[in-house]
Formats: sequence, structure tokens, C-alpha cells
Amino acid sequence: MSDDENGLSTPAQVEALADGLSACADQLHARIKEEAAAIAAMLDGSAARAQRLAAAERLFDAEQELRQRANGLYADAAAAVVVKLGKPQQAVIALTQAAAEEIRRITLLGDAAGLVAGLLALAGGIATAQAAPVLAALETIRVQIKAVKASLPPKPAKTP
Amino acid sequence: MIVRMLLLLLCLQSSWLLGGCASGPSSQVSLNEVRAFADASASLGGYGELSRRYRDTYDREQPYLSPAADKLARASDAKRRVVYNDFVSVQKAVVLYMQTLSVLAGDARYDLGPRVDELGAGLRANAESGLTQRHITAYTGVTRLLTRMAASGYQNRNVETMVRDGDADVQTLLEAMIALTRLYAKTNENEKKTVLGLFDLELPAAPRNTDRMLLVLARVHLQNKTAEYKLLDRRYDLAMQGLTKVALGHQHLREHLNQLTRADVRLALANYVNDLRVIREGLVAP
Repeated sequence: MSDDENGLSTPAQVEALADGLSACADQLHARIKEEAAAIAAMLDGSAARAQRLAAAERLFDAEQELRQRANGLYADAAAAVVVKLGKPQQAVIALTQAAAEEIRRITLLGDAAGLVAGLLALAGGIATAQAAPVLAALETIRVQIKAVKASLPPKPAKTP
Repeated sequence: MIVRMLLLLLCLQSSWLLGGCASGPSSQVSLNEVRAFADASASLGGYGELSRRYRDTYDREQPYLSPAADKLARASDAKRRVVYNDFVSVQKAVVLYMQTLSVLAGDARYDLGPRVDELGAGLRANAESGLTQRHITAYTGVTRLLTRMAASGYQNRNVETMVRDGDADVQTLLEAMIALTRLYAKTNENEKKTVLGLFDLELPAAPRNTDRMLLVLARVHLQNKTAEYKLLDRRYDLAMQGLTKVALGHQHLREHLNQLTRADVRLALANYVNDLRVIREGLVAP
């Protein structure tokens, strides 16, 4: 993609042209303001004054059109900015999804700690040969294993 | 016997927990500044509001337009409306990224204290077997440290991964938002001069027999609109500054990925957070 210096192939060039048109409109406006002051000093109600005002108003209309052309070009430049973007946007969203998956896996750490606690309690129960703590510990372990499984992503279909 | 089993379980647990750990330099791992930066970035205002304003330009300027200008304005209006959703999507992607980064860098979710306390409770059941309170306290302390290190190390590595993998694309998106904000501002300039410009000619040149009420209405209207646009100019500036700060802050993260706990790195990040907060307050205020 060659950057033709005299062309309008890039958003930057389009924007630059729009800037130029806006600047012209600004210059025109400065002249119109001077003209307005001059008109104000003329004899009120005279035909000359009315004529000059009409002429100035036509210039003001031209100024407006310049500005509208500039804004149209700004809109073209803006559209070009987003057209180029497709990929980075998707990449960022994909990355965010991957990170969300990581976050989900991190909570596994917490669940594992619960599992370890269950195992310890089981060990304790066995050592003291008491049924109640053992049963409670087994239940804890069952619950923890379920929690771990629930937070895992679904398993892919088994391949033979 | 129980002590041996305990030591075995502790070893297993340590190797298991440390297995997923990056080589964290210190035991004091705080990603608070990263999280604060991500939060401030995600909640930065301005761009969304200015995008809407840009979209609705024609509605505001239409009353002031000559027929020829009106025709051109309507063509531009169609162009602006067509791409509006894309403008919004760009921001959404960046906000989503920052919100995710904030979660990764935050430690509230990974405070495994309650779970660690469970481990302590597990130990208490064994007290009758000869363990003293000292052992239990030590075990809980070690477990807590291990868990925090593993979690933070894991976090650290994930924050690093995300920043490393995402920086280029995030910067591209932020550049786009900055470019668009600049185009919004320039369009606003032309709108402002269209709206206010009419009065620069018609008020001074108005004939003496112009209705007095009309003149007063015109002057008051001009006054209000002038003040309105002045406030808006500031918003475009602030929005631009904010986006630039986010880009610089993320670049800083990218450049100091393995040094996120260093004091100077954290201080620089904290400064960005502060700047973003000031900008946000400026945008929230009318």
C-alpha cells in the first residue's frame, strides 16, 4: 500500500484535508465578522446595507458548507480507523476469555485446600479410631471433589 | 506415627502447591497498584459520552443550517451512525480487558484464609494424638504462607502473561480510541462554529427595527451555547489525556513485567492511577 503524497489513501490524509477545509472556513469566518462590523456602521435601513448583508450571508452559507464537507471527511477517516481494527479487537477479547479461564482454574487452588483439610481430618479420625470424624471427613472429601469437578471445563468427547 | 503422616501430607501439599508457582522473588507480593490501575482504566469516562455526542451531531446543528449545508450534513449523519457501534465495541474490548486484569491482580478473591483455617481445624482434631498448640500454629502459618505464595505466584504469572500477550493489541485499540476522540473533537469544533457563527453576523448586522425580544433571545441563546461548548472543549481534552495515561500505564506494566513488586515500579503505577482519578473526577463534574 503506497502512500501517495498527493492522494487520499490513508485516514491521516483524509483528516489532513478536512483540517485544511476547516481552516479555510475559519479564515472565511474572520472576514465575515469584519464585514458584520462594517455593515453595522452603515446607514440603517439603506439598500446598500441590505445588499451587503445579503452578500455576507451567502458567504456564511459557503462557510457552513465548507465545515460540512470537512465533517464528512472526518467521518470517512473515523470509519477507516475502525475498519483497520478488526483483528486487535478480536485478539483482545480472545485473550480476556483465556484469562477468565485461568481465573476459574485458580479457584481450584482454594478447593484443593479444602480437599487437603478433609484428608487431614480423615487421617485424624483414623488415628483416633473414631467413626464420627471419619465419616464427616469422608463427606467433606466427597463435597470437595464435586466442587473441583464442577469448576473444571467440560471434558471433550472421548476418542477411541 | 501421626507426626510422620502429618509431615508426609505437608510435603505432598507443599510440592503440590509449589508445583504451579513461578519463582516469586519475595514473600510479600502485592499487585494492588496493578489492580488499581486496571480499575481506573476500566472506569475512565469520556469516550462513551463523546461517541454518542459525535453520533448525534446532526440533531444539534440542524436548526442552524442552510438547505445546501443541511443536505451535506445529512450525508455525514448517515456515515456517523453506521460506524457508531464499532466505536463502542472498541471501548468495550478495552474495558473488558482491564476488568479481567483487575480480577487477576486483585487478592480479595484469592484470600484463602478461610480455607486455611479449615486446615487448622483439621489439625485440632489430631491434638489428642500428641500435637501441641505450637505445632498447630506453626503448621497453619506455613500453610497460609504457602497458599498465599502459590496463589500470588500463580496470580503474578497470570498478570504477566496477560500483560505480555495483550499489550500490543491493547495499545492498538487505545490508539484507535485516541484517533477517534481527536476526530470527535474536530467535528465538534465545526459544529460549534456553525452554531455560534450565525450570531457573529446576524446580531451586529441586525437592523435597528429588529424586534427587541428577538434580539434578547438571540443574545441569551448565544451566551448559553458559548458556555456549553466551552465546558465540552474541556471534556475532549480530558478524555484524550485519560486515554493517553492508560496507554502509558500499560506500557509501563509491559516494560516491568518481572519487577511488579519493585517499589519504583509500583510508585510509577500509583502515579498513573492518581492521574486517572483526577481526570475521571474532571469528567464526572459538569
